[in-house]
Amino acid sequence: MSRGTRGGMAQQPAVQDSEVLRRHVAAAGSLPAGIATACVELLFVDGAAVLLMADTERRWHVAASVGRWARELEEAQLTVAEGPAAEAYSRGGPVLLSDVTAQAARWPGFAAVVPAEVRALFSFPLQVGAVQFGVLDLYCCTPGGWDGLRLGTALNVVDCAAGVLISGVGSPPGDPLCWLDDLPGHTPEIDQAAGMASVQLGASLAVAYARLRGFAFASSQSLVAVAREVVAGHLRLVDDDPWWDGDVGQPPIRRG
Amino acid sequence: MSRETRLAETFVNLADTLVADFDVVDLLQDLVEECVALLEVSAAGLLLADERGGMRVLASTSEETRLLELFQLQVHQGPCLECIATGTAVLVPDLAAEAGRWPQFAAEAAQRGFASVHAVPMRLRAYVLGALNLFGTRPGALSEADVRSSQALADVATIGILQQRTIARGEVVAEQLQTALNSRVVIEQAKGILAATGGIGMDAAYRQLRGYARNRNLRLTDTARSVASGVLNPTQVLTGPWR
Repeated sequence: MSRGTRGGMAQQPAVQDSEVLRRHVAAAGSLPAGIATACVELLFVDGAAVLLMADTERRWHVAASVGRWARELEEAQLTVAEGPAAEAYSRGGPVLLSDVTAQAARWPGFAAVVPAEVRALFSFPLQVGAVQFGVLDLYCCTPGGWDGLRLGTALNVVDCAAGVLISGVGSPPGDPLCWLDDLPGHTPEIDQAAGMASVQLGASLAVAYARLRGFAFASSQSLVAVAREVVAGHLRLVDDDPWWDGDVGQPPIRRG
Repeated sequence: MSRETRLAETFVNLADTLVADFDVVDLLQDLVEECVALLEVSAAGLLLADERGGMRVLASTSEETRLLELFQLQVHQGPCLECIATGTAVLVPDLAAEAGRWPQFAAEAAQRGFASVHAVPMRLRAYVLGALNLFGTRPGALSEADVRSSQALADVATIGILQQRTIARGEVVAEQLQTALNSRVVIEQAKGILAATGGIGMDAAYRQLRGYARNRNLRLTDTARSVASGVLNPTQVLTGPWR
């Protein structure tokens, strides 16, 4: 919490974190792989993995793994269907284990199959409120907790990653990494507007976020500005925005 | 009922909540509302520091209060931020008289009709988790009894977030705080769904959501998640005045 006492002063590191993520996603050519490699660079961990939940079948798959033990770790967790990743996902908050062996009683099945080399494990849900994509697992081969700065960096990357994942929904126009400038989940108006838009469009929340983002891009406004208009009832997204089929134009809006 | 009796009752109720399986965001919302009922203030909010150098509003008695809290974050100044930075209470009985300390904040607060601000820290030993902020529409100092009561209420909020009275690991603080912050996002999404479905404002949507959850003894976050994920039909939550 030490970082929190500095108020908004810590903005700069967050921007740098998102730049690193941007670069890795571009280099890897895949969001999950870019997220995992960016974490290894930014957080000095020995490995990282991205577990995603396939929406249709409610089944997990390992979307990316970086590091000697990453894949084995994830396959072990999926086999026993318990452990930090499952708990982070169901609870909607991170599970931070500075010493994996000290947690054997908490998940006996997991303790029996986790690679012995994985000594510290940090699981973060990839989510925006009720929209859940999966889990990011970071591990170290030496036990030890994280200080506030390192945890803050991890949380920034996780938020950016969730923002990037939500931008993949429905492929709105613009840079898929544009969420990094304007993260959902940090400004209540954006989350309220997503809820409203999901009702007005008859679409899921994830699609509503993407549509808001797409509208902001197409009309050259910030996402927050668009969200405030929606919440105030001045703007209502309609079902037939032309860009939704990839045709970027002036989206039709209904005012009032 | 005397103020002392009511205060005692509030603590008993909060203690009851803390031993049961409770919802942090719901508890904190109760707490800010109790502040307004018990103390000589007209609005209250809870501001929390998160690990990434940012701050978040976790509960407030109205959208108006929430926006004023957010304004402090935007301009990086104000008594609540100072309280969090120093870990000590910042009491401002007359904001106009101290406008020089936080000119932008003082102007914004005055515009929203607030004349006094009192911020008490939420702390656990060396950690400062955030601040409980009390706003008055007229200038005036908090009585000594009110200052003590508000600090006690802030301590309850701290315990509520940490969910454990004897806490050793900083990791647990972070886990609980991040979970609570995500709960807040789920609630905002659900408020948006209810507001659009019912054609009502965000404050009214929040009241419906809390009333529905309370009426059925459900956790606020669980109810919000059901609405946001489409499991619970929003019209059901909107039917009937719950409070």
